[in-house]
Amino acid sequence: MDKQSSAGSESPAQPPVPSRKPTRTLGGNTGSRQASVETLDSPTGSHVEWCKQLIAATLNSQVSAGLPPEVPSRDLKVFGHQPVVQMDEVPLVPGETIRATAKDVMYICPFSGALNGTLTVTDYKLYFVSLEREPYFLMDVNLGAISRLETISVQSNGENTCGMEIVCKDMRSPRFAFKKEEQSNVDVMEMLTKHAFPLSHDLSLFAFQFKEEYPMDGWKVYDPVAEYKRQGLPNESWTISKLNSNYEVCDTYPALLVIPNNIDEDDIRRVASFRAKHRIPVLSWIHPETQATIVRCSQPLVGPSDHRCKEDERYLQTIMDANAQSHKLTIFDARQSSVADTNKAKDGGYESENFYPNVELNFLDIPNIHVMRESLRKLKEVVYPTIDDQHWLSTIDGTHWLEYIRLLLAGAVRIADKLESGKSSVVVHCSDGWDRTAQLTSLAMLMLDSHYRTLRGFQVLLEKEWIGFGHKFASRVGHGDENHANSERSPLFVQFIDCVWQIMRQFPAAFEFNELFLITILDHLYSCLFGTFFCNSEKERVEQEVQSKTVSLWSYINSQAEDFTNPFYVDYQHHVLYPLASLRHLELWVSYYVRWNPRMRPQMPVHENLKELLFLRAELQRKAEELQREVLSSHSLSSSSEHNSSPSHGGPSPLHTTA
Amino acid sequence: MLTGSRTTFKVRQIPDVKDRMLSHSGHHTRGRDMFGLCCLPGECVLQRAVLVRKKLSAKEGGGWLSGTLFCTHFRVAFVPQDSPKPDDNADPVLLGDHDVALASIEKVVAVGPSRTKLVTPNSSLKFTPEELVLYCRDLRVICFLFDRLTPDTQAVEITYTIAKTYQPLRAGTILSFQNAALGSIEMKQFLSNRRRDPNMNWFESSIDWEQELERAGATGWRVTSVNDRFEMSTSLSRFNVVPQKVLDTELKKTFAHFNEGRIPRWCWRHPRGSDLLRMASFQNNIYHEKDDIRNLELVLFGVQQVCVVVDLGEEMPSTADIQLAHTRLRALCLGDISASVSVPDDKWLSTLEGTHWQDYIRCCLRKAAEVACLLRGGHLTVVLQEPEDRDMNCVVSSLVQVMCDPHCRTVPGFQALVQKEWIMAGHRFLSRINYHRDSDKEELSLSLLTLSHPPLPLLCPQHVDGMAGSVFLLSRGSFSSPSNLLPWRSGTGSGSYRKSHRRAPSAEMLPGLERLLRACSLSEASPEPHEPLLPLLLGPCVKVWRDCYLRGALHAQAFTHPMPSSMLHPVEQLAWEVQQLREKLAQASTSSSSSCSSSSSSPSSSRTSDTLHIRRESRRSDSNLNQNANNGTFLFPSSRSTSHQPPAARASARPATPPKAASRPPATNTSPQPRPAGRDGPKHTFLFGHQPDNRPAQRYIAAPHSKPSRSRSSSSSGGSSGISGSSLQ
Repeated sequence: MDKQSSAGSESPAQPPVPSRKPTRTLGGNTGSRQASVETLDSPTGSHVEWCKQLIAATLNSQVSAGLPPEVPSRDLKVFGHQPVVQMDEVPLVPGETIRATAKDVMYICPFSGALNGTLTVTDYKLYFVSLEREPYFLMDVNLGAISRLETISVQSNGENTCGMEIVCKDMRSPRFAFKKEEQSNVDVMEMLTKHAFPLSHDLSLFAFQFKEEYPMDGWKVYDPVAEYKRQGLPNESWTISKLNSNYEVCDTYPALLVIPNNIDEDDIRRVASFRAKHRIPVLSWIHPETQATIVRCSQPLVGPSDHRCKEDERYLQTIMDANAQSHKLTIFDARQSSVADTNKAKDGGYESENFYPNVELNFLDIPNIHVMRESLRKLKEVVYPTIDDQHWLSTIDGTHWLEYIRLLLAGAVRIADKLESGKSSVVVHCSDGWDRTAQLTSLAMLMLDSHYRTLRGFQVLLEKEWIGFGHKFASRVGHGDENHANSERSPLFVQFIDCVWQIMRQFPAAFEFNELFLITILDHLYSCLFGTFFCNSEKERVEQEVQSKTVSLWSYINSQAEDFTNPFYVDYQHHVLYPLASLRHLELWVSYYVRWNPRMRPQMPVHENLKELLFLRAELQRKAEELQREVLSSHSLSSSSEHNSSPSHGGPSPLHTTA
Repeated sequence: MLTGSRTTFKVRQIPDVKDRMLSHSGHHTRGRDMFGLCCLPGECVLQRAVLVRKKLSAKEGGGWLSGTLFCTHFRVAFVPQDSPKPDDNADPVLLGDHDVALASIEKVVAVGPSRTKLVTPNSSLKFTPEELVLYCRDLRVICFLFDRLTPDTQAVEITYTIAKTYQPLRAGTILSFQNAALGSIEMKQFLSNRRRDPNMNWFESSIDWEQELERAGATGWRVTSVNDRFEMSTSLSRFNVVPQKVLDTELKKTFAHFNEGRIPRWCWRHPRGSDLLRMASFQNNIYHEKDDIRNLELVLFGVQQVCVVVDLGEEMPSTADIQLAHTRLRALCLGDISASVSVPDDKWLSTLEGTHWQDYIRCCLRKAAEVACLLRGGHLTVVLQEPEDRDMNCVVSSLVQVMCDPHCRTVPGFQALVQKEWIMAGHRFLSRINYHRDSDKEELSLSLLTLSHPPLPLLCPQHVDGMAGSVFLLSRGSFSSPSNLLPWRSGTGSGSYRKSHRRAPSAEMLPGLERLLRACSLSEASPEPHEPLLPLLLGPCVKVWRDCYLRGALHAQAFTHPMPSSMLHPVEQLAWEVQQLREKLAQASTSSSSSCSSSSSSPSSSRTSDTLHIRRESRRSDSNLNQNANNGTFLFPSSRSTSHQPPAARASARPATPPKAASRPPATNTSPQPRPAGRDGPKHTFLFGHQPDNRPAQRYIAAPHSKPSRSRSSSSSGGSSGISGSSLQ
């Protein structure tokens, strides 16, 4: 999407390194090369052409003194130290240091053949530059994105050459070849292993060294009390409880929990002991009108001998009673019923409709984390490095990735619909209530509550449903850990973001943020540059002082929010989105999964045009208002009142007024 | 999936309508049925059913619309009950917004209380249909619901009538009405009175062709009228472009050497000086005189020294392949409820792949991209050759021009292109579309194939957006000519013959095209203005054209709410807004010009507004296809343009639109460009030139499509049916 960052040839959507806007750094020193890339990248599509003409003409005639749109003011905003980077110099973020450099390393490009160049390893990234070709080639890989390092055989390059494949979590696996004996190569390998997996080498994650300062503090984005207050909580039925302030009731839950009013503390503890990992049913969201709620928890520990817990049964009854609109409570168990039965045989289980009166239990048939991990592994196989054009669709079918996306969306739609149309409260759980449960509740909330579709609201949603309620990011992603085969790893969060992208594609004006925002989140899920996705629970994060020692991803995002904003966002405040959960209407997120393929290079700089037009619009509006004032003062014409009706926008505001 | 959601459709109802409809007293005005159907000259209603509800597609705002259903021997028409009384003096409408031509219908399915039945001309219906579903060849699905109060006989009879009339027993009768109607004096009068769009080239006269030569900057070519009476070739047009240096007398001899006399003819010139030609295969069984060969070479080489013959018989899907693929695609996308097996959702992708449709599209795009790159090399003649020169040549030649020529990406330009490369070039629409239904083998959906490569970036930018990574290089030095290709030996002429070859996609060859492209752009000091739009050909990038293929799928909710994804491109929408502001500025500065001299109308700004103007006009003229192309394509049902709301409704539907737009004083004055009045036009699918719109303000509002659902609900008098209005909170 950013044409600038494709100055190399293989990084169309390189994770933006926050302290330098990728565009400027590369653009500054590539000169004519950049121009050549641009020529390639922008064949003149008719509407682009047309827009350009419009912009040029309007600038000439209307905005004579204004900035040229190519250099809008936002581009000048650069945070922190901005070194002038030479081509052979490695751009560094504050706090980053170069650990080793090796010359004459060969990058075995799967697309355009081998390239010789210089490989640098810092404590944050791997950086490869080759000046062999025009335009020059560069590639960087955040060490955090590395899943494993594998030695490969490269016989063709002689006996003393060894090869290395860098298997990444972000759907690529670059390969390098270098001479065995040379000390610099040995150093590079050693440093790479060390800093790619710092936790396995008694080092800390890079975020603890990252020294960037941003004008916005992302750690302040989420304030649980404020968020619950926004939802109208506490109210007569629900209270914000400090019961878990020392993480004693449940060590994977946040300190603040919303639970029904007037529940005895001892009862809560009994409920906790009846729920897996003590994850009791707590409120996640409340419908502003019907008071129907989304409640999340873990599976009940029913076991093979059908244990009951009176307190748990009463507790769910209270939750149902808190919503006067419905005399039913719907439980969505994310699992396949057969799996739930297996769990029941192992002390887990599900709520029996016999013991829980007025409860309706539904299984959503979503497979577990291992199935998802396998599915993404298959997906990587078919998108990198080569793509079978002829059988593309059936190979995608074979990964089942879209099928699982469909299941998740369909489940979330059922939940949202039950709340919105059925006016009934719902309880969502899977086994532990931190994977599929988080996916489903957050997707349902995204459909129901337009606040979560804003840039800040989405951050709150992630902080609350995922980070706060203890999705085990550290285990699922495996930050800094070399044990790539750990069965705890699974791309559940990627799958969730993919679902968000699918909804966004179906409702392009309903989200304040854009695709770049989603890709940036996923890139920094792995990068270890920010502490946002560290640890497995709030308790662990407090212990490790993540907030005081690292920077939040939202600091970076919110300091340049305009880059992540969808200019055509319409705030449909009370609109519920029901995406079509049918494979006919789902699509593989090609611009994320297939982005490393150079043939994917996006050509039409539509995004850029959009920004230029937004800039132009602001200028014109200013000009129009000025002229209008002039007209009014010189003529005081009565007829000119008709000009006043135009809505005045400030910056990239929605095109339409709120529906 | 949604249980009892609030998306339940509301029916527009006016209390007394039932009585009104059941107990009307017929008073006939000229050509008008008593229920408000305005018949065409010679058209008469065969059957009608009252109190029918038509299901509106998501794009039309969803919900149902009550009215009367008609079947004539030309169309199935639906007149909403609250539609305005047609003006008796208005031009006849060929197909209204809710009409479908019988020739477009593929299947008629009746849905009863417990069963569905495919209705054929000979079938008998054993139940009263509750629902009538028309599956169309253009992948629309039109659904009518019979009310409890619709007389049973009417429901049964209209179903029969449609089934019988759309599949006449005698081949060709389906077109007899059109033929008769167009031949009538009344129609001919309309036709001759119709104002021609000056921006649209019809390629009907030699002047038209000369204009095109001039537009393309092609010298060394001339228009020949040697085929004026179709004596040389029955399938070629009367006027053809050939090299200047070939005399008509010499030319006449060359016809015999080509299949059906389809000699090499000039199509287009690339700005870098290459010419694009097309021809049929050679007739090998004829003895060639020396002179003939010299003439052939002259005709073939045109004004260049190098000639490349691109054989489209090779590496391309056959017409039968394409037909099969299209049949499968249609079956898949229509989701025919009468079919015994439906494709389960989780098999969708594999089944779609199994149709090979996407494959063929990629193949055509790739070939066209190759030709486009060849042409860019400059100073050579590229000749497309296909045995009959009437199918793939049409596809590839028009695609090449869409990729290379920005003019072809405007609406008038695209229409002209279709006129030039399809209609005038003698694509056998009649047999390919198989109106006669006499032989399925002949049926072919090539034009859909072309259209499904998005002709305009606005339709499907992802296809044309990108740069191709195709695997293609010319085989240098292979000067020998395949014997089946050319009837003479190589080396006799002034140049060399080359044939394009595609090599196997080995890793080393992969970026061949890219290298070619890169080399090109690097060698240029300045940015090249003639870069073709090369589509991304990567499997993941060739996507199914949902807006067309799946438009029949009766899904209601997504993609329309809050804003349909298929709406105006965001950039265009924003640009439109910028334009609004510019106009406002212009207006402000005009009114303030006495006091302050603002520089609002510089030459450059007027040029821009011209560009914008064309754009805006062209956006709407897509609903005018019938009007513009009544020489043969008028049968295509109207595109359901969403822009036909009355101006007031449109203004209210777009809060961002300054309300003053509707009440603006004749704003044409502020626009520096004279507009061809004839293009301002009808928002319905009028057959004939509509009276120039004398509400100038309207064109400002009409520019981008407004949100259909919202504007519809605000424009309907009978209550809201839009999802956005009723479904959510």
